[in-house]
Parts: sequence; structure tokens; C-alpha cells
Amino acid sequence: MSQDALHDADTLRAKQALDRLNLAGQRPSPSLWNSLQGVFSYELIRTFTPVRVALWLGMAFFPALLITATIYLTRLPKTDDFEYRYYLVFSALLFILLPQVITALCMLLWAVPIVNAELEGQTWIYSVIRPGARRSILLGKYLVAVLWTGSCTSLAALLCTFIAWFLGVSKAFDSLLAIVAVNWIAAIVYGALMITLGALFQRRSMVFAFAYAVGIEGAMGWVPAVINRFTISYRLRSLMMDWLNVDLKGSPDGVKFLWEESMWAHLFIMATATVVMLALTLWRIERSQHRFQSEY
Amino acid sequence: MIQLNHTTLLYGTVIGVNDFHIELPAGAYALVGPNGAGKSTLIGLLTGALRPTLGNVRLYGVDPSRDSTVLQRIGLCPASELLVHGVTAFQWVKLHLSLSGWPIRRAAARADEVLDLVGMTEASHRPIHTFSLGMRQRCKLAQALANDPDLLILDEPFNGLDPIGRHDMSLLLKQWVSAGKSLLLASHVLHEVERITNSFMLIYGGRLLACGTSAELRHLLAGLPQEITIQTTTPSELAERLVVMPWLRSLNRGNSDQSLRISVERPLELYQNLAVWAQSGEVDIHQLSGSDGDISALFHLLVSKHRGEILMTGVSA
Repeated sequence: MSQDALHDADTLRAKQALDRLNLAGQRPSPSLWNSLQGVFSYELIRTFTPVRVALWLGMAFFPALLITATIYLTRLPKTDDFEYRYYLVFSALLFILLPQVITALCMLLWAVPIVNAELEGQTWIYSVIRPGARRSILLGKYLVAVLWTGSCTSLAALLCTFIAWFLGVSKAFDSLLAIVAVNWIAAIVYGALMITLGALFQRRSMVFAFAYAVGIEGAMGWVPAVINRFTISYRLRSLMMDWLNVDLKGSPDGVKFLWEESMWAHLFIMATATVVMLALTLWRIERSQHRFQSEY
Repeated sequence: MIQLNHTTLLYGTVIGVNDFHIELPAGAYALVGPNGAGKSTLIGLLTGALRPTLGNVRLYGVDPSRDSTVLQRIGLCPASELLVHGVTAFQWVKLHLSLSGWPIRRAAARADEVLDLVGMTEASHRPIHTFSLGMRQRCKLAQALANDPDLLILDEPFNGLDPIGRHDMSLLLKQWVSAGKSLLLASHVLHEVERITNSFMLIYGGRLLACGTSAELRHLLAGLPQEITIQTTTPSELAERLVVMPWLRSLNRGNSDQSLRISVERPLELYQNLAVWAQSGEVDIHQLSGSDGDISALFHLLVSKHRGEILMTGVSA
């Protein structure tokens, strides 16, 4: 076959291929639902890499190991309220480990780098030129972060409860439902918070988010003063104690550490905070501009 | 199709695009300039990813940074490297179809089709991070073509492609243009874009140096200083006549004893004088060669002018 004939054949092939792709004006309209589904399934697939699955399992098993060690190594004196005290220690440990430590760690991994990871992967530009894509990416990534974290802490709660029950904390299963619910609420609210920090501080997001998690939620949240009410930690702690029917209102410090408002007030404040933070993040990323990089 | 009205974009104190004023109807255009000329920034403005500091941008009559629905009509293949981990080409293209509004199932079928078009069928279910640079380029192109855009914007699309890939890409883009679709092709390699389109925008330092077809640009070149090599059996006689001419910028011996390499500011006057001298038998000229057939010569001259290295008269860019 001559070179001209080969060229003609290639040209014809290219033409036919382009004809096949021609949508003849039937291009789909932008759809938040379709793009959200696309981002959600894409991000979900990305969670199933060996490293991420190992991390998920590690996060789920770590609290169980710690609780095993704590219960096994500490022996409370067998007084009348021995079981109740064990139950309180176990619940407090679960609260500190799951909605606080594990949720914060998971969100540092998943929610904080929402913009930064796209910038480093140089994939941000592909997304921002799609109508409404910034919104879908934010919400899709957020939902996956919540799912990943919530499922991880739920498994951890189940494991911890089973181990505690096995080691003699007979009331362990009484707190399971409450801790699972608090875990999911923590994932939703902390997810929104970390995503907001990631969007506001796009270049040093991890530093700011870590500092916030330790300084505000970790330290300020446990200060026995009114200032702790500005933290999510305070709201979650109050909810958990409410659902576990633990009454510390009689204790002078209990009121400062824990709740004064009703369960609905805590839920309302956290729901409002979540919506406000997500709206703030959307506003921020809709206005973000990044220098176009050329590699060549 | 594209309107830039005195558009300027500043990155802090650095100028990305400087007073760009142009109106382009639908068609195929090459945006040519060296690295750092402002090509990618200009593309950022056209796609609404960047907002101008001064002036405005209109794409199909609307401001892309305010009304993002117009972006449905664009397919963009940026120059930046694609660095995604743990995701296959199929999944990645499918994601971008979903972002354009495609339902998941239709997006999957479409992703297969478009990856087939760019010759990635066999590798479509391999993770992108295992791809060569050329394969990533094809992947990026597939993503840009997937939504059947009216305007395809490609930033350095030939980078990383092997000769066969370049050939296939050229054919595909030629077909794209001949099908009546619009194309904006940014590159710093002129000969590659010359095969695809005959309309050029030369850009340097964020400014538009010149714009037009290759014929128009060559016409522009006729009035610009040029380097010419003359093969002659009478180099001394010719040199004697040339050195007194006011339009001569430099004169050097060529590679052989019988050649002169000269630089002239008004080449048309040189050609007229050479014709007279040759006709009178005073000098004997065998061959004249210059670089006026090459757009790159024009480009380099325009850049020199922009830098203030050449003073020209009667030439407008």
C-alpha cells in the first residue's frame, strides 16, 4: 500500500471515529445529581486502594486494642457500683477515642486535603471548567469522607463493645447505639469543619486543621468554662451523656463540662453549624482562582 | 466565538496577560509563543477559571467566569501533567462526563467510545499513574473530546507523544477542524501547529504580537529585517556594493568563500538592487536563501522588536 493510501486510510478512520462521537446537539445539560453521583462513586472507588483499606482497618482496630488493654490492666475495686463505674470509664474512653481522636484523624486524611490534593494532583483545572463541578466535587468528597469515617468508627465501636462485654463489662452493649449515633454526627459535623478549613487555607490546610483539632477541639473543648460551648466536642459530649442517661448535673464541674441545653438544642446547633460551614466552603471554592501551570 | 476586550490579568505584580484585545469568529487558531508567554493564562481566562483584572472576556457572547453553562461547549486539554493515583483512565473520563451532566451508565458507555477514539482501549482499565506521558496526553484528550464540545482548547497537546501519536493527533485535529468545529491550539512548536491550522496568534510576554494567516504574517515579514545568505562567485564585488547601503545591518562571510551572510532592514530594496547588479553583470549570484518561509523567523523577529532589539518602520503587529 502506498504512503498516500495509508494516509487516506488514517484520515478516513479519524473521520469515522469523530462522526461516531458527534452528539448532534444532544449534549446533556449540567445536572447536580448526575455529577454528584459521579464524584461520589469515583471517590468511593479511590478509597479501596490497599493503603486506604489498611488505614481504615487500622483506625477501626486501634481503639479496640486500647480498650482491651485498659480494661485488662486496670482492676477497679469490686464495690456496689463497680459495674456502673466500669461502664462510665468504658463510655468515656469510647467517646474520647472515637468521635474525638479517630474521627479527627480520619477527617484530617479525607476532608482537609479536599482542594490541596486536587491542586497537587493538578486535576483542579479539569474540574473547574465544568459547570457546577466545584459544588459536586465538594459535596461528593464530603459524603465519602463522612461514609469512610462513620463506617470506620461504627466498626470500632462494635469491636470495642464486644471486647468490653467479653471482659466483664456487662452493660457495655447499653451504650452501643448512643456511641454509634454520636460517631455519625461527629463525622458529619467534623467533616464539614475540616472541609471548611481545607478550603479556607488551601496551601497549609493540614497545619491549620491539625492545630485547630488539637488546640480548639482537643484543649479548649475540655476547659471547664463557658468557652467550651463554642466547640463541637462540648456538643457531642453533652449529647452522648444525655443518651447514656448519665446525670452529672449534681456535680459542680459537671455543668461546665457537659450540657445545659436540651438534646434538640445541641442537634440544632450542630446542624446549623454544618450547613453554615458547607455554605462557606462552597462560597470560598466558587471564588478560588489558581494560577494555570504549564509543564512545558 | 471569542472576544477579549483590553483584557489584562495580574498575578500580584506579575503580568499574566497584558491588554489583550482580539475578536475571533468560529474556526481553528494556533496560539504560539515561548514558555511563559501567557498562553496558559489566556486559556485560564477563556475557560473562566481565571478572572481578568481589567477588561473582559466573552465566550460565545457570555462571560465564562459568571455564566458557567457556556463551559458545556468547551473541551479543555491543559498542559499540566495528569497526576492521579489509583484511578483508571476509564474511571477518570467517566468522572468528567458525570461532571458534565451525563448519567452514570451513559457516561460509562461514552467513556469507552472516546477512549477507543484516542487509541486507549487496551489501557483504559489500567491505573493512570502507570501510564507513559504520551498515554496520559491521550487520556487528557479523551476527556476533552468526551462531551463533543464546539470549541476544543488544547494546551501543548503534542508533548510526550511519539511520532505515531503525533501523526494520529494531527489527523484527528485536522478532521476536527474540517468537520466545522472550532479549535484553539496553544503550542511553542510552530511546525506542529502549521500542519493543522493556517491562523496564528503570536504571543509573548502576555501580549499579542501578531495575528493572521501565514500569508498575512509572511507579508508582514517582507517589511521586517531578515537574514539572507547569498551564494556568489564575486563575493568581494558584492560586499563592496552592499556595505554602502543604509539598510544593511551586518555582513559576514558565509560557510564557504563564495557565500555572504547578510542582515538587512529593508529586504525589498536588497532584492531590487541585486536584480539590477546581476543584470548589469557586475556581480554573479547563484543562490539566495532566507528564512522567510518559516513562521518561526517572523516570531523571533517580532519578539526582538518587542524586546526593543530591533527598530522598525512601517510595520504594525
